Amino acid sequence: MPSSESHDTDRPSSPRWGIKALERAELEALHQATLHVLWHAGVKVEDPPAVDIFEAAGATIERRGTHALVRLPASLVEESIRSAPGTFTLHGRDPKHNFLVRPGATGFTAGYGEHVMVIDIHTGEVRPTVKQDLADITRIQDNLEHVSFAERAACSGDQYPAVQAVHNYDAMVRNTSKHVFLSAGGGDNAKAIVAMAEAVAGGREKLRERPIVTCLVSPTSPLSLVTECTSSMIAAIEGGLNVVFHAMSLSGASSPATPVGVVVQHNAEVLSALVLAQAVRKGVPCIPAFNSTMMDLRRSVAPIGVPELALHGVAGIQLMQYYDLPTWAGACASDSKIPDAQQGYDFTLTAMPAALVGANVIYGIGALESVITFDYAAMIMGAEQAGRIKRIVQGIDLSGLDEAVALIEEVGPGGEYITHDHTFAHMRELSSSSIFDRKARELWERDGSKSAADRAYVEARRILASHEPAPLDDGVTEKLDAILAAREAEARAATA
Amino acid sequence: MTEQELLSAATEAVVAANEEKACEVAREAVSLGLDPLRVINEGFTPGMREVGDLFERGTMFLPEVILASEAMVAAVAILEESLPADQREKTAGSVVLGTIEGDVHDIGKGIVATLLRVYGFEVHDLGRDVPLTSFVEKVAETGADLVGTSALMTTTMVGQKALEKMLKEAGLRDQVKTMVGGAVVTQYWADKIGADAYAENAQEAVAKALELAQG
Repeated sequence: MPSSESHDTDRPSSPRWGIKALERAELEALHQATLHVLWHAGVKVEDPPAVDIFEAAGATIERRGTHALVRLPASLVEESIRSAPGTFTLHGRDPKHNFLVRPGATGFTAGYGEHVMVIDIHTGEVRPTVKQDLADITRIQDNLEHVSFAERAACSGDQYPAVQAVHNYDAMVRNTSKHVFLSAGGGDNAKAIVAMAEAVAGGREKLRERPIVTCLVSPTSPLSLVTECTSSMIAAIEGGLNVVFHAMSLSGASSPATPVGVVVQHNAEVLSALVLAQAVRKGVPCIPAFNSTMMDLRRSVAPIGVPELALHGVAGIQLMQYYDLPTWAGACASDSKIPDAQQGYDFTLTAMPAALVGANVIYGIGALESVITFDYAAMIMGAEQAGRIKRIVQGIDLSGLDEAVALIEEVGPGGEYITHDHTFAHMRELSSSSIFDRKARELWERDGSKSAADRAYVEARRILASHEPAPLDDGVTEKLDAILAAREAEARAATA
Repeated sequence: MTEQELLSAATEAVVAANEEKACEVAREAVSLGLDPLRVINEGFTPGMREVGDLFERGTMFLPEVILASEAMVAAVAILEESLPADQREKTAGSVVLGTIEGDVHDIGKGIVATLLRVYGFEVHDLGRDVPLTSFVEKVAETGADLVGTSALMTTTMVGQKALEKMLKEAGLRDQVKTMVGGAVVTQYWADKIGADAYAENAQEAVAKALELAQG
């Protein structure tokens, strides 16, 4: 791909510290390999309307009964890459939470997709999630400084299954004024979510100007776009929303057992979705996500706190940057069942590389048990760790060099800095901590010798008891109720 | 090769996941006129049992287990050709498996299918995104002992509940045991919908299936 010089520049918005693991020639080789796969292997697409859109865009189609094999020519893929913007705004319901996606901007969010179990914040019991859990988790996300947007972190498991996704949006939009990410579970639900977002934003045109929710869709590995994925995508884009492509292959099971093979296949999967999205509405902002992990072929499980996740992510995100596309990294998640030492190690193993490579969105805060279970303490600690990691990515400011040399000379051997004006001027820039313990042992013992996780649960309960999200405009909740009820009645009638 | 040597070679071929070698041993047994059932039960089956043990201990990888079971199946097919129909290897049981309609996840279900074959079950794997009526039809057609369903999404796990009802309505529920699994499924859910068993992972699924098939 041409025109990718920009990311190697030191424009002020770039993260000053970061990983440049792959060279330009290596990225080009991965790109060419991906183009080869998209043409020679192709992509399986189920839903006829999606197949028609691919065909009209210039793909070669072989219809095979229940699906079509779609082959994408290099020119179509590269044209689609060029038409997708690298810079755009993820709008908050409240504009103060707007997040400008651009090279160098990194924001974190909680949840690694839709958790179906939660460690109960009051009883400690591990139990299936309900709609109120998603409301609670979202309300805490709304309050956390280092959480830039709210991902749908739990499943409204107590609601009618066919419309759980719509309940998810209902629970989220009432509890946060940050930008919302969630999946729709099919085109009909996507339309209902768009209608709800229109009610919240103040009408159809307002939503198109300021899309306050982004639809997550999942290509299925290897190389398949199932109906749920394409119908959600088409309805969301037609409704004015942006989209995220969540491929998540398991190295050794649904993708090759080598990182290079995973990256190429994953890239082909997200680019195939990108081609469809750009064909539906040219210029629609799309965020390819890199979440591919591995299959442990000895234990037959899919762990997430593994070096492979970070390797796939760093390579994939560099590829997207090479394309001038925005990026999303799956990280922060653990295979541990509780917020313990392993959870902390797993978190940083993947979150740090994702931040250093400059992913725009990093999700997975609070995810335990290979992303099945969500935990409040892991969320609170993870958000604080996200802030610490972002500080490292900021790097150090060399413009203060001359000033620092003069200062060191002035204070001289054996002097002190504590009372110097320079210290007063800069001391607030030094990192501080909230949940992570820095106290002297005696003080820590006096406060009950609590673990970080214990303190984090207390903090989560404090936020839940005290934080009130910005209210919706008058009359909006009634509209949400009506749209939700109508969609649910429609779904129940369709399955009756 | 003595009979004992041949039985050992059969075991080793399966553990080594060497299909070619396993078939060679099977053909040799036939040409020597050995009792095919004895070769299966004392040669190949112990190999598969060892494979299961090695997998459980984390020594063997899943792809090796799959190849080993393929070697076993190919060798047994050769031996069974020289057996009268009524003497053919009795299976541990017959299982219909599939991922519920609307759900395209099938890696976990595929692993369960492989391990069930390793432990001697006859497995009818219907694949993924399987309509509930297909489960019912397959159970009726095969007279299966067990039907196992996988659901990876909360939106599809309700299909497991609906299947319980459909099996009852088809008059099949008394003759077939039901097993449920998948990331979102729990013992609580299994109890709630009246499934006969829930398994957390593939190894546990085999243990529960053996229990149900014997019971």
